[in-house]
Amino acid sequence: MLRDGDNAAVHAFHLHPFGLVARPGLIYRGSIDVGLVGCFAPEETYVVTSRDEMAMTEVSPPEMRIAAGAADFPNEALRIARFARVGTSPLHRHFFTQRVTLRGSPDAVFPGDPTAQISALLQEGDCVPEDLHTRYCPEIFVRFNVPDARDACLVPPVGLETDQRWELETRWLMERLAALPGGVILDLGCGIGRLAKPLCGSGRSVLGVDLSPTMRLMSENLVEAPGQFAAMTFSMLNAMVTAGFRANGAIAIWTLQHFQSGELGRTIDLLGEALPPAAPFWTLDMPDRHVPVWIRTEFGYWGHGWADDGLSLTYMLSQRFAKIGDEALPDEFAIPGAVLRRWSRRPG
Amino acid sequence: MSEKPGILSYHQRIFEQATIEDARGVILTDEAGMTTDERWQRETPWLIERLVLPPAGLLLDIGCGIGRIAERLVLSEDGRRAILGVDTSASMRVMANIEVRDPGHFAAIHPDMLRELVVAGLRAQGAIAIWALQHIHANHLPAMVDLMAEALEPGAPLWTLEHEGKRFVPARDEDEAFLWADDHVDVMALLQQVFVSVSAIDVPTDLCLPGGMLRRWVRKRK
Repeated sequence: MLRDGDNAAVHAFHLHPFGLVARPGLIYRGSIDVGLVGCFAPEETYVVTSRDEMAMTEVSPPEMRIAAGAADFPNEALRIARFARVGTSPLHRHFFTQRVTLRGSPDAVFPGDPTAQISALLQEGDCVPEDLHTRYCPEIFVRFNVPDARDACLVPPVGLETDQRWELETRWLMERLAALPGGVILDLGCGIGRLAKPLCGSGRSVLGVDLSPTMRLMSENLVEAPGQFAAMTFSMLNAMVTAGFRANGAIAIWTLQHFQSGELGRTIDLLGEALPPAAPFWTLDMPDRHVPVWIRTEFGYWGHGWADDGLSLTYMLSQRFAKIGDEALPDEFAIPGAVLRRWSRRPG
Repeated sequence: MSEKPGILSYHQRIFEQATIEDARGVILTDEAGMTTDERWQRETPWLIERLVLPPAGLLLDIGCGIGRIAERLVLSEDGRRAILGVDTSASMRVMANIEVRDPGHFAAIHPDMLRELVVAGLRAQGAIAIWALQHIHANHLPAMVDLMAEALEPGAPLWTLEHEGKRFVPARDEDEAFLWADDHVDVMALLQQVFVSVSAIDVPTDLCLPGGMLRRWVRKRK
């Protein structure tokens, strides 16, 4: 158990390189926008999130010196964007103690090739898959502050900032989701509660479901309607449905496209169980799948990318739901091919 | 007792705590010559041994706090139980969602949200309310008892642990000093309107103040 004041240094070191190794049958999209370095010092405890527009393949192996209360990256290409103090937060303590082992000292220098360090850290945690090339990577949705979480929920497309997209798209969606009935609405992939908040504001109750523990916790704070909103895991939703719960409607906005391949069918079945016949269900997805996966570059770095596993969401949904209508996302959102679809649960 | 500041006002905020250590201190106060930690270590296993609950299905933990009992109930079985913790305290719900290290089988929600879910058909296979009802404001107590009854399947067990004959309502006096007040509301009588007591176990006085009673109830037929 990590405690405040522990003599701890590097906790997690994820590099997200641009150069990817393609694997037959999968399409990888390079992700260069997320780097997470967790470091801890005796007096101060930080999570440092860095952003870099520069391809990691052009960055020399970073040397990282952890000093008391500060992290110094000698390579300026790594631009530290945000610091978040986590010293007394049980949330961070929980996350890190689940995945990593304390090592080093607060003044330790971590020079040279980070590959061995990364591999060692991965082997000590719970993220050592047999095949990292295709291993699902839900960790990308584990964010420690609201701005990062917003970025993870809505990746800014070309020409728009996350905040702009957040505002425009939320308004556009809520105009359409006004057709949802009253009662309890399921929000699959609720994130930090972007849509749950206005839905609760309109008098509905929302049961948010998300695989990210940090987003679930943030959502309860941000929705600010504790009597109308709760967030839980898909397993808990399954238990609730088994115990008789039926929602009046559901939404899955930018959610199903990210589901693990093997879980998608089961989740659609669960959703079918959670809704009574004819209950409305709205989805918004890209035409292809964007499954977060662990990847390894030709340089040996571990990171994440997006994979298209070839599954057809529309086909799979149509087995349990009848399509009522669809509408393309307006051009101003600069996400070509994205479609908002309205479904209705088939009888039986 | 007024919900607004006055001669003796209900003090809900005592349950909003910043740290787990502080929360533990409110959930199990120092009493009977024992510290919070001592009570925690002695009472928790004593309870777990006696709470006969269905091995599978959904259970409610009314007044779940930081998940002291829920964590054990989830861990003590083979993963077939799910626990829905219910608590009015936002900070305790957050801590419970972290401390119960099995989010696949636990979530903490507000009582009003439970009411919404019950309207939407949810029925639990059992419930516990450990040192919970004695703290609820008298005006809200009948509704909570009714909600527990509605939320349970017929025949499902409800376990309560209360100091019978005495209430511990968080309050502030006219000087804003905190105290646990006895408003003399008869919790047992309220429960007996919708539940039948089927067994009762005296809590040993080396675990808490005299008068602690662990009871098993089942809902009356409508």
